[in-house]
Amino acid sequence: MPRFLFVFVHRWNSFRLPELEAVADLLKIPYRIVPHEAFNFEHSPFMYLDLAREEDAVLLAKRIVTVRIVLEVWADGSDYPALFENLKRFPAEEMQKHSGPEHNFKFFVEGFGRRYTMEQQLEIINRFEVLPFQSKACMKNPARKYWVIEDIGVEHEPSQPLSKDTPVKWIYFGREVAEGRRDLVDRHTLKKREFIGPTSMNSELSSIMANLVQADVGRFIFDPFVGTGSILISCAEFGAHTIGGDIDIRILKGKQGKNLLSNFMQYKLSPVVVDQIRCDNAISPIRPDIVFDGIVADPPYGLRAGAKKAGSKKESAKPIPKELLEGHIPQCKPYELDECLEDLLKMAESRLAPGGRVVFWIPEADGEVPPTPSHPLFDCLSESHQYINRVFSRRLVVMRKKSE
Amino acid sequence: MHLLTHNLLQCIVQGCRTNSFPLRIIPEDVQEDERDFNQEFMVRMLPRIHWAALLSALENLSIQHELPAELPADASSNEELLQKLHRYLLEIRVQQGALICNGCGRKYDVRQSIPNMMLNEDEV
Repeated sequence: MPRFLFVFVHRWNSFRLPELEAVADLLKIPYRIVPHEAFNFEHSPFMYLDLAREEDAVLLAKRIVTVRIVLEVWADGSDYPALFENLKRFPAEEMQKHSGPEHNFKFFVEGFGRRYTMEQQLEIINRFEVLPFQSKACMKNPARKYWVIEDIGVEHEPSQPLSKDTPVKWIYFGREVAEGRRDLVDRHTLKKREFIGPTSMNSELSSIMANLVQADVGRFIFDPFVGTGSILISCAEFGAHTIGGDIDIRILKGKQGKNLLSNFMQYKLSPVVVDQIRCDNAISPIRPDIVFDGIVADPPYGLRAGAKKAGSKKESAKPIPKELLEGHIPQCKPYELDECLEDLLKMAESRLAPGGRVVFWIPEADGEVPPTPSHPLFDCLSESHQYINRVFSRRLVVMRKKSE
Repeated sequence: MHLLTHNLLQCIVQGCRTNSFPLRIIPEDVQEDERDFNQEFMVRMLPRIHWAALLSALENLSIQHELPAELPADASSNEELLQKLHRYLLEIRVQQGALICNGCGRKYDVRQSIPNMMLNEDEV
């Protein structure tokens, strides 16, 4: 089985494995994570994967937002003598496929935990003159990209604070097979979006959520707390048809012609946005049959926007006179987190296709960690943490509806 | 509100169980948008569409159609039918109007294409 080095972005560490798992499952690509002596995935962005074919590495990379690049490693080692010793064992016929005169190339040098000057980079590149390349280096649109990556590590290791003398732990050298989907982070950045709110989900986490819910062409995804539509935009980017609900009519209608629909238009995603419904998560108006392939939710709890459901704050509500019914704005009351999550799963239990996923956030504050709701029809697949500041954090939960 | 959305919505008044689906559409302003046809989505949605509810929605909107009384068994391979369903479910849109429950008579407004499926505080 060919082996590939996945180089992840060094953020969202606990989101990386769930995202990989969700995408590989969606694309039906079998993989094996290779145990590796310098490998510590909690603190390291490097991961070796065994895959059946190079094409699988390309397909995975084309979907995964936390992946930067994927390399076919020609050699690695704890230092350069070891690396070049290993390079001799890389099959010559494999190298020849890429070293012919038609394949001009470019070298990239980087360090994980260190920066290099241009001179240092050139010094490293020059070591690779031993390669039997018949082609020329090319800075613009090279046919082949080669990477030398030195892994120095991060400061997490208390026994060895990082300094310029910290020795290199491991060196990788290989050919770039594919780029990950970092482009989505910029393409959908909130900075350039026409209509956003104070709790709009950033483009990176939205894209990760779209992968976790396995949004794809032909699939139908529901967001019961759609707000300005950030998560659904990411789901639509992967081709899914989307529908959103929200209790807040002002958000749904938008301002000065700018609303969720204009956001979809901005990214030319209007063909797959179906509708918006004004509705209450506590009393879902969706008929209880299988209609959705996935559900995403960022319930509006927390500091910036508390959750609400319809109902009077008083013990019993006065009936509304008939003449005032037209245009009446229903009163709302606070909606507790555990009740909100329970309703979310209750809504999902009959409306989600077997195997479909619910992906939602649970807030944590001051060491208070609300439990993950349990439901006999759902398996909890993963929980990933985002630390917002010293007091607040939240975790993203992925649950899958059982097939039976 | 497109008719696919209408196909999903039911009355939520407590105790309203008979005839709470489908909701009757009272159209005031109906529009039609063009949208890319996506065969994969249509095929996937076929078994999830409530056929009788779609027929009644088309009738409410006085739209002439040639759909059979029941979903044909070969629907997923019938591209002509899928194209028609695409138009009915995803292109025709109720911009203004109302939805009425045939069971309890509750009225839900549709404004700026958004159905308002919220109950008032005295109904929950």
